[in-house]
Amino acid sequence: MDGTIKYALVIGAGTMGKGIAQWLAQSGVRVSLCDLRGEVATDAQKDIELSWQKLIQRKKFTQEQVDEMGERLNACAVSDIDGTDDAPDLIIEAIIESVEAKNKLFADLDASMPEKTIFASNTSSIPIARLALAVTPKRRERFLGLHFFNPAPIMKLVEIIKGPGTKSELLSHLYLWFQSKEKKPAICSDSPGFIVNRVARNFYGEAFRVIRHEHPGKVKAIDEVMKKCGGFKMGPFELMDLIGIDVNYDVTQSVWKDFFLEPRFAPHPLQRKMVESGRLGKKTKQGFYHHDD
Amino acid sequence: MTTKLRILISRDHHFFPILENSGRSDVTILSRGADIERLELKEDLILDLTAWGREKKSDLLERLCESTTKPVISDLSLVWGEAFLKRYSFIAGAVATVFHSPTATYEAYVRPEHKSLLETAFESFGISMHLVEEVGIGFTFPRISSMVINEAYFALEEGLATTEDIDTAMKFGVNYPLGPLDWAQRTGSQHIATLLDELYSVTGDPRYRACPRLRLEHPTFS
Repeated sequence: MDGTIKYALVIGAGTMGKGIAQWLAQSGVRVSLCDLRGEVATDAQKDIELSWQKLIQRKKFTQEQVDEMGERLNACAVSDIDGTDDAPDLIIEAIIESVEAKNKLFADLDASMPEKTIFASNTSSIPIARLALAVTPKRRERFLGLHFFNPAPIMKLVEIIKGPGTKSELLSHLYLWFQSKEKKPAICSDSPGFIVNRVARNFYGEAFRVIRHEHPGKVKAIDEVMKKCGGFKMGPFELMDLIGIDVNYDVTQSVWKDFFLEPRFAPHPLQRKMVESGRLGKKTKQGFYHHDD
Repeated sequence: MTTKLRILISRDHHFFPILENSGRSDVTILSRGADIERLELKEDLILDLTAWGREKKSDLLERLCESTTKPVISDLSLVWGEAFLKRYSFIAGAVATVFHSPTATYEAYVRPEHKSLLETAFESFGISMHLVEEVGIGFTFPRISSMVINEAYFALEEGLATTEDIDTAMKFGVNYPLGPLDWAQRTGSQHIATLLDELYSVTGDPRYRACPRLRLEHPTFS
């Protein structure tokens, strides 16, 4: 089973899909970035090209390299996807976090794509097993999760999630392929939050238990300790402000519910209070800190 | 004037190999509180760096209270420091050095008149202090990191991923300076279980249940 990826299809031209497509093109892979509406994909392609121009200015790439990367990237509508003549080696789905939407997409693709094509979802919260139900048992051997981290062209990690039927050989090949492309792969089983969104929960959750209630002075003190003593680039409260306190709260609730209300993952009342009062972090200019423009 | 220091340390503290090889004459290895009865303890500062939980630490501080009138600063990484400071009011300060710090910087809570003494002591073995206003239960950095490490052990126990992949994920997915399982090895996994037990004992909250896999690395039957 060959793990080499020469041509990939990324479906969903939002932040993650765009980032994944950019990384693939930068890594020498021919890539089609698709969205339900073709113009969304075209706009995303323009964003990527703009990003490359900035990277030329920062001397990260040469014009020649960017020209080559640009030749490897194209945008299209989902309705244009054709699995008959020029089928991709890998499809990465990065559409909205909806089981119904993802399953419909995978079922349609399964009917049109050849046996060789690997199907992957970039989901962060839906079990791969539920998504694999949409395809035939044969396809499940080549069905898995590939969880990238934002911004995908910069963040090194890719979680490779084993689905119920995924062939071990495929996981090993992909592991080596990602390594050859300078990513840091980590293989994990299909469990809520996978590795990062599960193990990182208490970086935030325990910080809430230390401060117990809203207290700006303590928030700052904890962030300082975690940076100065722990060597973390950002403290838990700064990081929540950056990610979005609502996004962090949603992930916490999702992992907690998926683990049948395990106390280790329990959300904290202060998280809910912040969300309910519209203090969501940097994006609303007010979170645990005040953010000026 | 040179500050005269007496460092009390247990063999299971990650500073121990460094201090043992340093050839310093001001280091005393303790294996139980009663060991201090053979010491005179007349130095300017007694720095207790024993990595001990509630019972042993309490026994040591009871004995120190009887043995010296010199300032004592005690490592309270693994206990309810707030309660210890209240009960042993003779203590001049508390530090949290048991959990490995990649920046060699450790939390310290100290009375203002003893700050420079502690600073000098820390500098003498190449570490820095970060002053904090509260010690809580296990200070801040040990408490938060113990919970992250415990979860990594649960993940390992459930077969979620290998040790290497868990550490890779946390370093490259969320930029942790070290993988949590590597962090546990550098700190000593038994200390993480000790702090979790203290958190559970003080709060009664089951979220602090230590992972059996974590305990298995240094099994005890007490």
